[in-house]
Amino acid sequence: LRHADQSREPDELPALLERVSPDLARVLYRFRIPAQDSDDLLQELVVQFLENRRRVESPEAWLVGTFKFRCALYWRRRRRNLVEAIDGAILDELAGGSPARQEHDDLSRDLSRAIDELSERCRSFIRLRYGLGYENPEVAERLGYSKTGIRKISSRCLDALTDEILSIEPAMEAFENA
Amino acid sequence: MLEANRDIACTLEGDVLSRFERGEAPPSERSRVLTHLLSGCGSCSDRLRPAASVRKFADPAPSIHRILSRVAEIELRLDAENATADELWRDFQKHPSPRQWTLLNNSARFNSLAFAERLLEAGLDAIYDDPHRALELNQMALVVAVRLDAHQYGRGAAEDLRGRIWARIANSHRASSNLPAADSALATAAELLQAGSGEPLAEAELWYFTASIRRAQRRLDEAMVAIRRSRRIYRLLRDQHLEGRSLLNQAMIHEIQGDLDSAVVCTRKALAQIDPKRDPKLCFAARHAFVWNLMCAGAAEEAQRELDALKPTYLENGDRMVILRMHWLEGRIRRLRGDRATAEASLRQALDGFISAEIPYEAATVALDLSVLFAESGRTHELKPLAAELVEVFQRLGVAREACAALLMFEAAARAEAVTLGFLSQLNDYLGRVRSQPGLVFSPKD
Repeated sequence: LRHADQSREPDELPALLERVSPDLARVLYRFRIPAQDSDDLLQELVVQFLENRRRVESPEAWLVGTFKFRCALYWRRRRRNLVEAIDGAILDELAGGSPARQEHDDLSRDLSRAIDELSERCRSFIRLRYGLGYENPEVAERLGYSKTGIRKISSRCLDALTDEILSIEPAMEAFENA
Repeated sequence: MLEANRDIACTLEGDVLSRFERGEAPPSERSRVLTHLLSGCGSCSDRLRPAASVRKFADPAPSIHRILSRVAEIELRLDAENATADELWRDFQKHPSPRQWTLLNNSARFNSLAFAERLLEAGLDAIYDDPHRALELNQMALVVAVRLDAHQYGRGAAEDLRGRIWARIANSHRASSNLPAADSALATAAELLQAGSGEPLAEAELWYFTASIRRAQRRLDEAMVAIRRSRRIYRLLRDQHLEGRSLLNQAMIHEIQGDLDSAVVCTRKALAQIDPKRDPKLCFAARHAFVWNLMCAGAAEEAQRELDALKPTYLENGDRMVILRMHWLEGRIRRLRGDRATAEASLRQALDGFISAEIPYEAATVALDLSVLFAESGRTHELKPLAAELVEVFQRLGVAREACAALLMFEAAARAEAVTLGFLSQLNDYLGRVRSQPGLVFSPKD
């Protein structure tokens, strides 16, 4: 990547940010970034700009464009954290995290309800992952997927399972107890 | 009614759920939250769902002054780092390569993002003239990058830098005809950039290099998708020059697809966008590509006129590789115009240059152009030494066994004076494909 014109004077940061501020606010609004995280995201953007200033041809376009990327990434990462937390919790449970047999059976039954709602392809993937404890490369070999293919399928299936778990309605007896 | 029941049933503490959502909960808490969610707690599911189904919050106005006060110190530090890197670089580039390695390996003063950037800039500069040196400079940048203290820079900056370096390494391998190594370096780059900050210039460049490598591998559909993605990002960032560079790459893909009209259109657009001050070598490459496309389209007279106009600039500013390509182009234009004697001289200059630069496949392709010229003029006896020379070069440079075997067949046919134009065309096509498929065997049809 050829560096941008380095003979010109670098734009003064305060003036640049003042100019671009309404656009950044619009990006924050469009991406519905929580107030408590918006300052951190903006600060990271400005630091990133300072680190890459030599390579940037149009600072305003770069700041706004990069901020859109970062906001999209913010949600993707939050989503991934949640999916990984759920995946990790299921793996812990199946590895014997819950000592009481009754609790373990309840969890397996509730989990099966969620899994039953998934597509056949995801059910096969989940059966091998949680049922037989296979890692992604083993699942890929068993189901005939490529290395990159299995990464995509794994991510889609775990996403779908997360959605199913979050949309579970309480069982009737829970209402009665309440 | 249902919501009320759900609230009554919820017994999970808010901070436990927050830790779970951020991926920071310990296993015992994860298990508790999972059991709780599976029991159907609506309020907890609703709280997690914005992260699951994305985008549901109100906006704050950005507070520029607060942010400026927080980054003031970082800005001063980065300015100082840049000034030091400039100073170090001025001294560093005076040394020969082995001494540069010694300096890098023995001193921590080079360990900065700014110095790694200087190495990357020099690496890109060298790619036109000396791809092996470009690779070496990128490898030096990698040595610096892996030693960087990641906490000293912004989130994801170290991954971004390493990802960009691996992408440059991939491109250097491509430029020196090592496509398997290019492919593997590209995969490393993609993985690192995925873990990085999402900086769009780095992503656009990755797509750009992906297109170049897929083009060299003749995976042209993938190359086209990649180059369009890189163009889209450069357009979004309003970097006309780099979008022009992508357009030039797109023109080359069209050319290989045999769509010469689109190639000429893209090259014209690229020429209008590329800034000669920002990258004079790229500008040369674009002008060279334009003449090449005219030649491929059979417009020999126009191509010769354009080349004559360009020639002084080539000789004045062009790097070794660019000048070799100019001789190659000139030889082909002259052959097209029926001027065999001067065509031979130009092709011979290009061939000798590629051999001494150790760029085997380019050397072989030029040699085949020369062979066609000999075959057309009935000088089949001259194919023998040419074929023997090529075999020696391929074996010396350790080119894939199957490609060497194809050249041995060429040598045998030349010795038997049995080389035909059809055979040369098949060998040319084979050499284009074997670069990306090293196990491919040459089996000419009669």
